Amino acid sequence: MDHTAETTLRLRAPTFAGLVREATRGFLSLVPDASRGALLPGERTFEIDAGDRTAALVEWINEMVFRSEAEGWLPVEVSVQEHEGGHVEVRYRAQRLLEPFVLVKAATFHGADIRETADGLVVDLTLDI
Amino acid sequence: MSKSTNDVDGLAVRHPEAHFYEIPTESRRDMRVPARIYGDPDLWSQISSDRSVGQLMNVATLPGIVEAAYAMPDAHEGYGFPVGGVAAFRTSDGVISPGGVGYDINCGVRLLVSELPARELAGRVEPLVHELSRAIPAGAGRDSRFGMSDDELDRVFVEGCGFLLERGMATEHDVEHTESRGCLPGADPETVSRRARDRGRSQLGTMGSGNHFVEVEVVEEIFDDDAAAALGLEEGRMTLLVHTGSRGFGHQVCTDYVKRMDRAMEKHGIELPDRQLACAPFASEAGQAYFGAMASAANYAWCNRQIISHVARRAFRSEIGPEAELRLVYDVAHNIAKVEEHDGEKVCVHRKGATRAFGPSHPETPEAYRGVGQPVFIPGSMGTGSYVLVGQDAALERSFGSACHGAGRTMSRGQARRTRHGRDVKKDLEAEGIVVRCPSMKELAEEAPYAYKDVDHVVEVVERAGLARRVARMGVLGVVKG
Repeated sequence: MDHTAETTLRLRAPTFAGLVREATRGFLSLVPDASRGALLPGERTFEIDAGDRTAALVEWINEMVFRSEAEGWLPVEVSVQEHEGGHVEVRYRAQRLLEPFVLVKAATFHGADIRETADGLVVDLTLDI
Repeated sequence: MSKSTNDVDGLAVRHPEAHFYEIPTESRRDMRVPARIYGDPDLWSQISSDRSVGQLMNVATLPGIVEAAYAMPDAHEGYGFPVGGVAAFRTSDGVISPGGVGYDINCGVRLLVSELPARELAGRVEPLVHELSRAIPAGAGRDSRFGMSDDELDRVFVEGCGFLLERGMATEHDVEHTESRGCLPGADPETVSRRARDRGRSQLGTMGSGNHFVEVEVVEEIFDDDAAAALGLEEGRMTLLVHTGSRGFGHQVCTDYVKRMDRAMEKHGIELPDRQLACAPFASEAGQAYFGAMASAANYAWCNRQIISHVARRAFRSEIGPEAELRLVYDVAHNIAKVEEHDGEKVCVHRKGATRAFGPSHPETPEAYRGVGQPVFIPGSMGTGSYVLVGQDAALERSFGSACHGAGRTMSRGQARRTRHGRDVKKDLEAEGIVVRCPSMKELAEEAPYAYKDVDHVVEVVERAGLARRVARMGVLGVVKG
């Protein structure tokens, strides 16, 4: 989706874990040649205690923004566990990028509000580019 | 969900002056002050077609806001605050909001002028623009040749352009002609995250992407002879306009503090109509920490534009010769929060996509420009030229001493891309005799002239509204796009 000077991802999934995976997939879709880099060894974990699901999703994308720009890799093969109290644990493998990805500068709360629909959860996430 | 709306039909909009609209405080129960928008019917129609007005009304609900929430004639929808928004909050019991500054902290513009008439550049614009594009890393993430250690970065954060003076990359004249002398007091490296440092370490002296640019221009028209003479502008003189900010560093500072403040809302008893307005009392620990980090990013951005000027001067000397020496006219921020005194009260003025425009008698107007006004630069879209204005004393009463910062987008990036290919945009510009260097045809299409409002019209409204006065208009000879 277009915003005046940014990109908005519309994410849909039956569960919150699915939304996190969709957010990962959406972010990767913006990265040229995202699948051409080598997989780095081992599994990694990112813990989120954001207080609510929308903030957790924004934090996850901001984690990808930082890793892809400053360290040149992105998460793949993502699995998500949502614990009581809003704690979210994301496990993933890291895939090296051919070059640092710097198009997306930040994920924002602009219009971000996870909604429940008959088909599951929907959220619009606006990325500052 | 945000209470923002693109429907202003139900609002009691006042139009008391030809270039001024007002949404009264009573329009929404949570508004503390009115929302005031500078524009004529044409611009009002554009501004009210997106969520800018709703966003401005949201700003008017924030604790400690004084007088009004203002939108400049180039306003458009932003995150939390509209772009082109100005709001001031008491430092005693008001808030500070990262969303009121924006992600690109101290994005701003600087203008340099050469005494060399542009006509003497004939045949040398292309190699000059090529050399500028080679010397100034442009495009998303291109690394700087001025990588910094942690200690050096700390000095950039705290000393701003003073650090570059010591390094021989700035002159005393440069520092004197930079807003706040290129150093916002209150910077605190301890409040800057490791992530922000990592993103900023290798980006000093780089332009970045999006609407950032370096343009070689020529003064085409003078509107005010005396003011132009004070600024060193003469018809036919060559100028260089630099537009960039604090790069990934500023973005990370904003991300860090939106997150921190979002979590502190409840503690401070603040309820917001839009989460992106996350804020904290200015005097609180979180508020002061953000101010310390934001000031660090502001000083980083001034250093960034100064290093680009240093590199550009070398390029001009090598391609044109010593007669092309570039003198800084002024450097001014358009995404910043500053503590200022208005009506005898200390307030934190947030300018997001808005330029400070102090008048001839303001003590912070540089000495050389007292009696004239602080320079304000309003770039148009790529290839359409730019304006130099000077602030008016009346702006202090009308907008906390602020004017607009550009033409303002009318079209999304995607829509602009779909309208024409970057290759065709480049051809159009070249047909007008403009030399273009851009690392990406996609970016070029996104920044095409038709994606922006008419800058002539925006500037005319700024002048009629009494915010700033036109001094000169510049045409474009060559552009290096980020």
